[in-house]
Amino acid sequence: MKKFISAVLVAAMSAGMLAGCGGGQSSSATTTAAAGETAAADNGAGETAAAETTSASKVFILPINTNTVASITPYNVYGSDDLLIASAPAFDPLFVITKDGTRWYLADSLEQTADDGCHYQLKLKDGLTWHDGEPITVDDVIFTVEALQDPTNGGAIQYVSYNGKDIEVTKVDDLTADITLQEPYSAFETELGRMQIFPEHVFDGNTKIKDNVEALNKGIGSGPFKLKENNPGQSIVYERYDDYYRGKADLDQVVIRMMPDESAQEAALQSGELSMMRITNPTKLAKYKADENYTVYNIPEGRLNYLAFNYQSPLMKNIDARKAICLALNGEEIIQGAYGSEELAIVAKNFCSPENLYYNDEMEGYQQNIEEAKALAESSGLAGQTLHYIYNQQRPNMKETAQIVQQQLQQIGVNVEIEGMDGSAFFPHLFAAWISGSFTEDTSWDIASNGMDQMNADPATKLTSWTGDPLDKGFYVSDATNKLWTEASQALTTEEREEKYKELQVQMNEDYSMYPMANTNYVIVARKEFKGLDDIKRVPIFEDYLKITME
Amino acid sequence: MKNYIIRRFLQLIPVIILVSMLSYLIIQAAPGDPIDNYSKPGMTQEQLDAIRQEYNLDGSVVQQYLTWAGHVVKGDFGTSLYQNRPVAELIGERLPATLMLMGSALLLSLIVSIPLGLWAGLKKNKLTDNIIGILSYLGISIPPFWLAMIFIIIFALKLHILPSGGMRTVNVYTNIDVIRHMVMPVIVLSLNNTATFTRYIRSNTISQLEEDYVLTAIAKGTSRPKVLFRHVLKNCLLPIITLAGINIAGLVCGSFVVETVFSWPGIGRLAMDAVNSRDYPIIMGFTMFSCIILLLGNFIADILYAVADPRIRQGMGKTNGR
Repeated sequence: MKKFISAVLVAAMSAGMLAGCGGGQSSSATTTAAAGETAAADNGAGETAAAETTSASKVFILPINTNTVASITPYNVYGSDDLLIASAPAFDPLFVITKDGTRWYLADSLEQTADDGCHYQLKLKDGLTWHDGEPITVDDVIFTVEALQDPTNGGAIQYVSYNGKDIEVTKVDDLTADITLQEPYSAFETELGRMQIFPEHVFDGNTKIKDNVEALNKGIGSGPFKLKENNPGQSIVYERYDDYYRGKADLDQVVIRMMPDESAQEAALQSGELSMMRITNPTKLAKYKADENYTVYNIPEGRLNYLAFNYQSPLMKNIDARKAICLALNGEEIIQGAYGSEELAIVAKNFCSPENLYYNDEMEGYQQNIEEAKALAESSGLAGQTLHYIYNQQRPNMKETAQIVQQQLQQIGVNVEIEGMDGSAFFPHLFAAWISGSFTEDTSWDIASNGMDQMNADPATKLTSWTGDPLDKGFYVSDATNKLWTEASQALTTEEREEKYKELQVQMNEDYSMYPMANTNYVIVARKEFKGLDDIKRVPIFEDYLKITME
Repeated sequence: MKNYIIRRFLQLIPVIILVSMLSYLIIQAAPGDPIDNYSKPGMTQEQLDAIRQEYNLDGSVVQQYLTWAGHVVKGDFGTSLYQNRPVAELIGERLPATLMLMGSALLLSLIVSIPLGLWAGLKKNKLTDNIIGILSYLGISIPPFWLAMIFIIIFALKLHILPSGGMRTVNVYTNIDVIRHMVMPVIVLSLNNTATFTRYIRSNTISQLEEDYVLTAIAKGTSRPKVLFRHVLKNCLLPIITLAGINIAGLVCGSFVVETVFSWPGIGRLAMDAVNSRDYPIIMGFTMFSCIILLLGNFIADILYAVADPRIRQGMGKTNGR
């Protein structure tokens, strides 16, 4: 009996070990290479080449800061850099609008067909194919729009519905569609262009895509790379799609590794298991700039890190109190103290990023004036008070920012009590007024630092939190701001939009509804053999994998 | 024996129910609302309510718990809010990687600690014993994440002989490759158990060597190795059975740290993501999984102990006879 039980125990342990050996295999591998068939190659790993046995010689491996990519098909990616990075190799956007112009991908053109700002015609490029060889047509565009507009999917509705009003897409022919908006919206072109479309045939035309997990993870896309393996919790392996409509990529494979731990990323980069990683502190920046094995790329992130004032807090309802804080802070010192280098961030001047269309670069932003700030703090009753400052500790540089703000506000006699929290606890506080679908009173905090990402192209894409009734939004919004916002977002000409958005930037600074702190840069350190990582300076990385090469 | 096993098994049920109730309450008390993941501009209250209903997030905490428990009894641990896949399927997908790590770490602990403990016991208070003692205390004291980083620096970055993390090299599909990736995480995860087991075995060896039966065996001319391996070892290992059972839970918790540092795709990382995104069904699934592993570990340890130790079997007989 004892021998039997011992044998069972040992067998169970061995089975556990062996089960794991097989358990790491891909869940949806479309091709696999048998052991022993792979050829040795230099993966950029240098001395670890023995471990990097691979059939592909040009493999670009980049990390994302999450352990979970729930769907390879990018239906719920809006606002998530990680998910956008994970899907970018396989799913092209229609087109990308930036301040420097428009880059066309799946779409050939988008033209306005009436002067009312509500009618457009979209044309797709001819000869496009999905990774399974099926043609890409307007039916796929319509399918994607309807799937995203269905709220039960929890998808990126922001691409196709503005201010709660859905766009309507009707087919003209296989490559042409008419698009109707219910009212003009300046960010329509920006939003529609970013949309990555899904293959209708893979979902059998059923727009309830959230329930079709198998189809979502087939990953049949339109980009320069197609899905090879999806290893949950580990990696997504893409291989080159040779029939890509814009030509073949130089890289053989792109691998997305799920690696949220920054130390683990750095170790993997140095051992050659990653091709690049993001860095967010000046020490590492200096270290890698001095190392000839690496190249440092600096891409303006199109992000605004700002100090928010909680309009539900009695202290923050008074404009003089908010103004006192804005005048007490010194943007340059925040950049130097929290980021350590202007290569990592620059002082923000207003709610826009320099990557936005219609950025008002003539504005100087708030200028520190301690005497005036002290007087305002006294008159508003802010002096002597203690403000509760919350921040998302999972974001880089936020803790340091909080500490500097705390020091600077002490100069005007305002105490600051800092509390860092995880994102899952932080955002329900920050957006308490609307995040759960109904108003929630939250006076537990007074000021908070947060960031708005992907602030590129039309500024309306990120302004929903800063317009409308302040009590519904949680942040102060003046009538003048609301009026300008409506005028700007519904303006019909570029000139009018530019004028109104520039006015809006000035007006929001006069409202003292937030303190714009930093426009950050996305700094990448990559192994020197990879080139072209900043050929397109846009975040989330990488918009166009054809630009990345390996020497 | 049969009655003992049944009785011990039945005792597990109320513990599991109690743990599930407490876990559910604690998770509900955490800040954040899982519906926030779905909250998008333009969604109506009715649409949000429908999603709440679909994911059993409406009603009171008690109602939610009872609905969840009702499904669990039928083998349905619910659907991930974030991934929209059955929790059991997600845990099952990641479980082999974690089991491999845990099983290997436990096995390594036993393989290393048994000879070390015996040796230290035999060489009581001598140089060998002192060295093993110091190493054991170091093993107990060193934080796993620190050791993990040191290992990565030495073996991956300086010596380039092991990968720094992950479970497989891209495009390599051999078991040898997986084993190479396992070396560091398994050693780190096993270290604490190895040190603890070594101390226990040493202590037991010393006390067993002073027992009359050992003196009798030696007096009868039985060789020292035979006494050691046929008699002393058996008795030394008895407490290790219990200890190993209890420490399985520690391995599950340890896997959180080790999986994160070594980017190992196990359930620890799945649970970490679930906590960050308030994915209640996965958190509950993971909590119940850990609870069941702990209880089963203890349960199996109790049975093995009874099998291995005739005194306990005799005790059971007396109890049953009453």
